[in-house]
Amino acid sequence: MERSIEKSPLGVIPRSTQTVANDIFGADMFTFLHAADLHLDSPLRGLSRYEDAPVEAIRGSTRRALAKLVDLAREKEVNFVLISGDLYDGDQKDYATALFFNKQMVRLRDAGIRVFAISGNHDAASVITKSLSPPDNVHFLPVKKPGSVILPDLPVAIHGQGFANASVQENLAQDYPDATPACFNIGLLHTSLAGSSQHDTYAPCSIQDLKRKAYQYWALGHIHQPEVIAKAPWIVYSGNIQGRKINETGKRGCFLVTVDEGLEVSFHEFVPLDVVRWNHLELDLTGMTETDALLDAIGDAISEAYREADDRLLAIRLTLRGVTELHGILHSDLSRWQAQCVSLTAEIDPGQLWFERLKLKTTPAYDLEELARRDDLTSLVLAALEDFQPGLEPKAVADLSKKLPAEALEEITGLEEASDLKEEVAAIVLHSIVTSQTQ
Amino acid sequence: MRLDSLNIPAFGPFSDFSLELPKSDHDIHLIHGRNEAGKSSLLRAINGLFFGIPSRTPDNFLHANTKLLVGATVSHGSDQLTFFRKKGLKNTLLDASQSTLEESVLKPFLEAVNEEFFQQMFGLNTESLREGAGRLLSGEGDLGTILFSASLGGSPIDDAIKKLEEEAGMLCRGASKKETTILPALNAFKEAERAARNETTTATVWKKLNADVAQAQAALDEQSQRYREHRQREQFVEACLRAIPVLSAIRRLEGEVAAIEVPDFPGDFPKQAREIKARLEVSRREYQLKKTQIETRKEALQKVGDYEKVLAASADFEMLHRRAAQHLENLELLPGLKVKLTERDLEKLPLVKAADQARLKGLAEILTKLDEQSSQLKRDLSGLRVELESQRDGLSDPRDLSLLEEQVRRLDLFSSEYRGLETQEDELETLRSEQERLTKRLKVEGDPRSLEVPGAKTIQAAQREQEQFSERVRDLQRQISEVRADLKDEEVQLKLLAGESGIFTPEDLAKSREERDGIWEGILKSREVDESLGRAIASADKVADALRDRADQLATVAGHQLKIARLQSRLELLLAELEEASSELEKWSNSWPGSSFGKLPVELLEWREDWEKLCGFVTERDSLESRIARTRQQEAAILEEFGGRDFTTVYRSLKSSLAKAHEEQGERKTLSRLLAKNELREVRVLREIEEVSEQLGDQKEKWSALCEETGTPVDLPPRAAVESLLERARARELLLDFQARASAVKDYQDLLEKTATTFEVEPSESSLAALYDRAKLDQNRARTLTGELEDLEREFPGIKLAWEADQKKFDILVEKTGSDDLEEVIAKVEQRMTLQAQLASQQEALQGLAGAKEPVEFISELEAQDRDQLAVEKESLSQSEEALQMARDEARVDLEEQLRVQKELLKASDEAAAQKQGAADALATVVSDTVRFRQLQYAIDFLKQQVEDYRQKTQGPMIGKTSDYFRDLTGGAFERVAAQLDAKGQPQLVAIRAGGEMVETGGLSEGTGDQLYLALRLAAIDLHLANHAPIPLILDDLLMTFDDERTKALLPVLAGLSQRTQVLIFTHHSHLKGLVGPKVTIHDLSV
Repeated sequence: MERSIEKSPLGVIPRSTQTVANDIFGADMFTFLHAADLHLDSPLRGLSRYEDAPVEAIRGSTRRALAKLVDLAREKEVNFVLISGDLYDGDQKDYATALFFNKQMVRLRDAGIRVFAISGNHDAASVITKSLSPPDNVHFLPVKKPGSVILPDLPVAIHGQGFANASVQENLAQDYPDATPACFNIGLLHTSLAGSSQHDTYAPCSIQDLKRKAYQYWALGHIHQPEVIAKAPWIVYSGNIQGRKINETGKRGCFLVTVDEGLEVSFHEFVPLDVVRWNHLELDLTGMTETDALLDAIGDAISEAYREADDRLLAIRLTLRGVTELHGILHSDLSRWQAQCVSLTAEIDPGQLWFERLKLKTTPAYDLEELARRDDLTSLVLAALEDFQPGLEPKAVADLSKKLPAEALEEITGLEEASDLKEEVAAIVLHSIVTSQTQ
Repeated sequence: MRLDSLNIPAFGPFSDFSLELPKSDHDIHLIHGRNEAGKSSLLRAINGLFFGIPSRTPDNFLHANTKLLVGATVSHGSDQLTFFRKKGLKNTLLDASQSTLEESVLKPFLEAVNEEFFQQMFGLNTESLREGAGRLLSGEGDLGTILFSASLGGSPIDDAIKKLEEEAGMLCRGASKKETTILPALNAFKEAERAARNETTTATVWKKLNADVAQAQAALDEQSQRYREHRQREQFVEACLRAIPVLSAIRRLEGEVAAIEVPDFPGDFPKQAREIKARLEVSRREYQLKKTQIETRKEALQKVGDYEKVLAASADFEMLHRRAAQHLENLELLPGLKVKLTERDLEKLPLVKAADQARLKGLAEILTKLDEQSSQLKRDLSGLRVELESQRDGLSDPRDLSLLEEQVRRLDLFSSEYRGLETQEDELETLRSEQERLTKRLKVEGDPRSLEVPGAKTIQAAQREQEQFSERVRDLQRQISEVRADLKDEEVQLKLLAGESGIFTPEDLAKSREERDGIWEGILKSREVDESLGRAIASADKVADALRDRADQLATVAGHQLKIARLQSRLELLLAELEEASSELEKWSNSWPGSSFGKLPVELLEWREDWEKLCGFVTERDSLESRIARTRQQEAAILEEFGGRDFTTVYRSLKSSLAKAHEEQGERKTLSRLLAKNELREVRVLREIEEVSEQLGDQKEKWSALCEETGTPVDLPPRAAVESLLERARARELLLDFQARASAVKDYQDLLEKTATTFEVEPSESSLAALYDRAKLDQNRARTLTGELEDLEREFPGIKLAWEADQKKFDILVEKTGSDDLEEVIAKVEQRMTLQAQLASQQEALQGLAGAKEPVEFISELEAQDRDQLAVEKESLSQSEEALQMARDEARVDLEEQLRVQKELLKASDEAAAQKQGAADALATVVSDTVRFRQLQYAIDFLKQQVEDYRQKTQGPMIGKTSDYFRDLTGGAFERVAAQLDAKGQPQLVAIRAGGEMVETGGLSEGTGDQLYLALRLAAIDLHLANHAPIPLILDDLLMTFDDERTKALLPVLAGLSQRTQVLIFTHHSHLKGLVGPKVTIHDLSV
């Protein structure tokens, strides 16, 4: 059962508070951390550099997040740490990454903390995984079949199976062993569950598959957004410990879990570990007519986000929406407005803010009927624009696409859906007509 | 929308100008104005009316910027609006009452037409027509563009595409990396990726390096161990060598300590024993000292004298002492005082009271002052009388100046006139010369004022009449000249057509045949064959052939001939009109009011100005001459009256005399004023003398009475009398002083003797003073000794007790040692302690050498060694140590090198991570810019597609309409236009003649090119009007490039268009008025 305990300002429950809680509800037996998707040394994506961008501040962010995880485990004196897959990216070949991982694991060993981990789709085929010799407090569960570890000093049974290769499409959960009696049973699994729009499907299984095993806690990995799927039993995605792109906004970290003598979860709380936080801000400009007011609104929004980031570096994307007369000014010189936003962030804190991108989703306040009366061709263009659908890729784009690497194409596709393209092109066309002149 | 009227209060040359544009079936207006009449200003006024007057307008030369105002009444359907436009940045649209109107009120009339579109679409002038025609003829651009250019006046969509292409070009431009963003970012991405790969540390490399590090560590550990063991043996041997003498010393010291036989005392025994002994000695000495001091004080107290009796008489001693100084001074002064008293006889000098003394002194002062005052007044009176005498002598009889003044006044009046004489004579000279010059120029004889010249207004009216006559003549002459040129042109063309073979008409053929037949008839009649028959036949045949073969050409010739005939007929008419006009002009010239002067109005107007000037000169000269003559007459009269050469000399002399006389008169007045003043002073001084004498008498009487009263001699002068009184008072004070001092001397001596007798000492002040001082000293001594004795007796018992206690402690100590010689015991104890300290030091040294071992263990090991071999072994160990040390250091360097490599690899790995981040950042730029590029390209393609669709859609109607207009404009010479693909597959416009012949635009004459372009523009307007509200079409001097034929062809076309929208034709050709026909309303523009 989850207890309602007031959080401290730092988001971590102080020991004394827990002690009080124990007096009320009965003594806690053990504590553990549940983390996943470390993606060590994986770069942060989508941050176009600009002059004076805080380049140094984003360096090694995944490493620093892992170090914070270890700090937390030592501070809370947890009994063990669970890592549900994807320690590194598959293309990570640098052994220094493994050394860093080992170094942190040694810090846990020195504090008497055990680590139980599985491989995920990313690190299954990693050359690092193959050559890694972790310290003896780290236990990797097998990849060919599910394995179990029963702790000698605690009534805890940990079951799990790692990925043998980068694409596991089988339902691994169904072959997991049954729960060990009189133990707190934990299932470690890297899975997309029934499927996710943002993540590829791996080791698919249903919630029912998991419940059927009668475990007390399923520590899942793969989905980067932290989420408690169920509480009876606990089925939890811890999410990644450091967001790596604009889709991964908000707090990132791990779950701190306490189990009482009745082998029930007595405390379950998310603890942020991220050192760089992503924030996608949206502003509605409906009715706004003055650029000064717009700049003020942007400045206020960024300042507020900055305050909430708790001294972390904040990567910000700003999307402007609404019906506004400023639509034209914004579209006519997007790069200048992007630069304005960068400048505003620099005014607030150049070392702690990185302006990722300005996105325009505003709607023009044009009088299209009047515009159509200007001349026949304009009228024709406006009529055709209503039915515009992006067709074959323009030749210049196709030529350029041939030169781009696969990851760029992948990101472009991910960034822009067909509806986006249609809206953007329509906005560009409309604005270009409104501001054009007779020659 | 149409313009119902234009109202221009102030703009360009217009002031309160208005032009009504009434609507009829055909809304077409010819606005004629000669050059500089303001046509261009009017056009700008219309533009400004709708879209604002530009900030830098050329139309502010007559009216200031702030006054510029244009207005109009426009209508569209049933809506009508009267409004004005002033110059300014905002709120420039006004209603009839000059209140501000919103710009939006114009919207129903203009719809979406903006200024550029209005100028491009509805404002056609020669320049824009020629420019468009030039582009068309040179085949510039593709046909579609030209058609749009004609139809839309430059498409805004083209501009939009261009801007989008510019932005896209900044992101990516083919393979170019210059000034673009995507490809450079892509390069940066690839480079960062490559760098990251290069910096990556692989597991194999890392493991090998780890093995190397472990090996180096093992080697170092081994070397370190060997060196450590060697050092341990070396240190042990060295310790043994150093421990041998230490051990011997320990043994010796232990023996010596055991030999000393005294009881065991604590370590501080010698110190404590010595302290007790020393303290006893101190307390004993202090007891003895105090005892002696008490006895000494008691003896001294008994020796102090009897001071109390002397101190009981201290009042007398003190008095003698205080008065001693005064007594000595009295003794010194008394003899001198006595002598002074003897010198003055006090009895002879009566004593005068102090009050009387003051009165005498006051009266003496008053008498002296009055006496001095009286003497001064008498001296003043004497001086004044001398001065009066002199002044009375200085005054004599006055002189009469009235005649002289009257004369000068008269000459003053004349002198102002006389001064202007010279200027007047100069002016007269100038006038005469000007008059002469003008008389010659105007060729006037006698007095010009007698001439009867027409007035300026009359002449100006005549000038306007003449201008009208002349204008008509010039116009006719110009028309004649044009007709003659056309005629010549036609004749040249006719001549060219005729060539050498000549031109024949059917009449020529008939005539030739008639001639031939005549001859044939003659032959038939005469039966003679004449040569002329052959020529006649040949001629007739030739004409017939020519008529048959060159029928077309002859038809053209006939056309030319017809035109020539028409031109000639027109020429004759024009010549007749010219003659008539010239005759009217001449007739007018002979009959107008100024004709008698033989000059044209413009000449006469100028002549008249000069004539008016001349008349003015003559009148002015007459007046001046009479003024000069009058002045000269007056001068002569003055010279006669006063004598002299000229007026100036006479005038100056007279003025000078008058000035001198005035000066003299002034001096007399001053003297007289002074005399009167001094006489007054004399009277005042006499009165003062009298007053002073009176006071002096009174005071002298008072003085005599007081002298008598006080016994002061009256015969003495007052100041001397006062002085004798003062002397008497000073002698009296001297006597009193002497008496007081003598009494004081006696008192002092009496007291001195009495005191000396009492104490039996010499009666002198010094002996008494010594006696008194000694008594005071004895008193102080006795007090001090008594105090000291009391203190000593109080302390003594305590000191005695302390001494006794210390003695007791000492006795106990002696008893403890068991020896009477305490010093000997102390010395032995101290010796034993020294030996024990030395022993401890040696034992400590031994412990140091033993190191961690117990001394017993060390000593047993030491004793097991062969002492003789130890030194030899030490030497050997020292020699081999360096080699072991070097081997260990080398192993350490090797390990450090391996660790350094390991560290560098880790550092490189950090760099690889940074490069990866850099690659991700560059990729972000590639992605975001590509997304934008993609959107822009979609937008560009979309717009281009719309343009193409529009071209396809509108080309047909455009071509059709253009053909219609072109056919009408060329009078049917061309049938239509068509679009054809050229060799490059680009559409080109071609003109098709009436006979079907195709002419490329490049093959058209300039005039026909103009017509084609005009046809395109009119077609575009036509199409526009099909879907939009009408806007007035303005043709600005467009027809100047059209000859009359073309103009005649154009006007019906415009008349047709005017049924759909208002057409305004601006021209300066007056002859157009005769060409336009009844459908066109003509307006003459005159400012």
